[in-house]
Amino acid sequence: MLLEIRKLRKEYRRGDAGFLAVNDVDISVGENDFIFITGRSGSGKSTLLNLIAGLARPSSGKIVFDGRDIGGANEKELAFLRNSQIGYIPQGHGILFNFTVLDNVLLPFYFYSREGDPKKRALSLLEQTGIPHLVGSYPDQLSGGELRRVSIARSLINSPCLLIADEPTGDLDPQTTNDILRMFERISAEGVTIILVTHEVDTVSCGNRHLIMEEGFIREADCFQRYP
Amino acid sequence: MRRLNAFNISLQNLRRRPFRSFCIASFVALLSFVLITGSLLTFSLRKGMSSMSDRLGADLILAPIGYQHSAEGVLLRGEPSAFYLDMEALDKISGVKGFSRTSPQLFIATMDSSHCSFPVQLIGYEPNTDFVIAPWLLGEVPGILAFGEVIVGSQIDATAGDKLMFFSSEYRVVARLEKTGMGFDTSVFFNMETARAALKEYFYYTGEDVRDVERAASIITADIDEGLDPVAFTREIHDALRLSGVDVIRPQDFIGELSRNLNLLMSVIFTLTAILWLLAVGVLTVLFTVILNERKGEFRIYRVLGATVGWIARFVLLEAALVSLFGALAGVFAFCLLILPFRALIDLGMILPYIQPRAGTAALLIAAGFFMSFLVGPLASLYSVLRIGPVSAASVWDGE
Repeated sequence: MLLEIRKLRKEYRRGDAGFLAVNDVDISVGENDFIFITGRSGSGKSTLLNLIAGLARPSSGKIVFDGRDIGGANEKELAFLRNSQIGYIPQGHGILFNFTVLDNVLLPFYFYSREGDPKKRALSLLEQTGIPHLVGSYPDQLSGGELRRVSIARSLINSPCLLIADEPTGDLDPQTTNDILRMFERISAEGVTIILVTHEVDTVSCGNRHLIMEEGFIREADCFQRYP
Repeated sequence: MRRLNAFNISLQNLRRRPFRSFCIASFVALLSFVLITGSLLTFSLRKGMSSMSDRLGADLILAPIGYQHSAEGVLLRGEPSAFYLDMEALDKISGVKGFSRTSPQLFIATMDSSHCSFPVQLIGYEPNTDFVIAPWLLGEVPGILAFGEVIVGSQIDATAGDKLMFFSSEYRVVARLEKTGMGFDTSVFFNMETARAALKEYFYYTGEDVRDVERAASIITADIDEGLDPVAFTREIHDALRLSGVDVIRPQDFIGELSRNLNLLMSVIFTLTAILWLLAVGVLTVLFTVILNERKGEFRIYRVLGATVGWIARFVLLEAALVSLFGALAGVFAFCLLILPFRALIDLGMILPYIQPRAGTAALLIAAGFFMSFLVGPLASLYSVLRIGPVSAASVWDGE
């Protein structure tokens, strides 16, 4: 298993009362899984992704990534894990507007000391995501779909084994949504494990598992159905 | 290919926010300019004041009672004035024991009319006994200062060979004094013979009573014997000479009031500068905090991509340091452009004792002003830096 989550809880305070954004979640994610997690806004999907990526600390429970319990990892170790093994496509465009498309893609490579020239790989990823012509453009010149492609290319620059995407098609038109999902399919076909979160059930047109999240709880969909 | 390290990222962020960067840098530049100018001004005044009593070059000044301020005006500020010691007083002074050397000076105030080249203080001195004027001479006076020859102060617009007209006579400039930071800078010096001839003309034009011009003197500069306590000696002869209408003044007494005023002025300059510095830190702290909130999303992206809170903090600190560095450099540049070329004019315009520092000291003061203003950016960003952890942390509210 690449990722095992057991009895995971995340509690937040709202005024004097506490509430569980993630409640007793158990998931096992195998290598090369392509999992859709759907649920209404506020059901705890993004919190779950933040916990998996080490951006938030669980209140209780266990997250074992690649055989290691990351609950005990410190901030530096989690940051390195996020940088080297997890590609994260955040909600919204998640692009830095002060940098060109190429620099946005290259940025995660330079956070840690690494050998080699990442430019070739960045250009290849931009080619794969269909925007090689936008290399020198700034994000404010790009459409929503193009920004999402930049974000996907950037998430792959350090060749992660797990790709996490938070509402990657949230504000896109159907045609662009379809293009993006086909792209995830291709990435999955290359052996990358994907967890994709969305509130739009009708975007579940690919992948091999479908989980539903409701008020912090998670369950497998009764029957996995792909929408055409 | 350039590496996207914290430095390049900071630089790129500043470049892509030109207006914001320009405003912050301009603010720091203004601070840097004020700090450097203020510190140089304060230093020059302090130096001018502290060395004034030394520069006067005499242990005591003997002047007519009631003319202490006039004597101070002539000697320290070059304010034209004319007054004279009584003949009996001169006799009395020559009888006092304890003076190692004395030399008279004769003050004549020129007039603002067609009779004079310009209104200025004329000072007659005795080259043979003088020990106050001679140390300031730039180079040697060719031969003995002859009748009709003059030496000019550093701020008198005349060079050797020029002719100056006072009353109805012409005088030839033969030498200059170096800058003294005192009234000597705007005075013209004669030997006593020439001065007395000019005094006769002065009396003629002013209509004052002709005194015993051949023995006239305004002040006596005096040094006392080694081993004598200046304070006790002054007290001793003060009482003896007072009856003859002579006031005994120590140079320190001259600058007493001036010193108090200058100290007050310097305190005001220092306080205003300190307030401005603290204000700059405060304003930039508020500004950086507002910017931090605006950039919450950006910092979260860095964390999502694998940057640690420490890395983001370093890069925010670096960004503040860079913009501060550019501002501080611009301030130094503005100082070099707006103040340095006009040093001579500032010297001329200053009616206070003012000695500009040497190049090395000036460079140190500029470096100190630069450093203090450079510090403002990083210091002001500290509060924001400490808040980066909480604001960049993912939360359920950010996500959903």
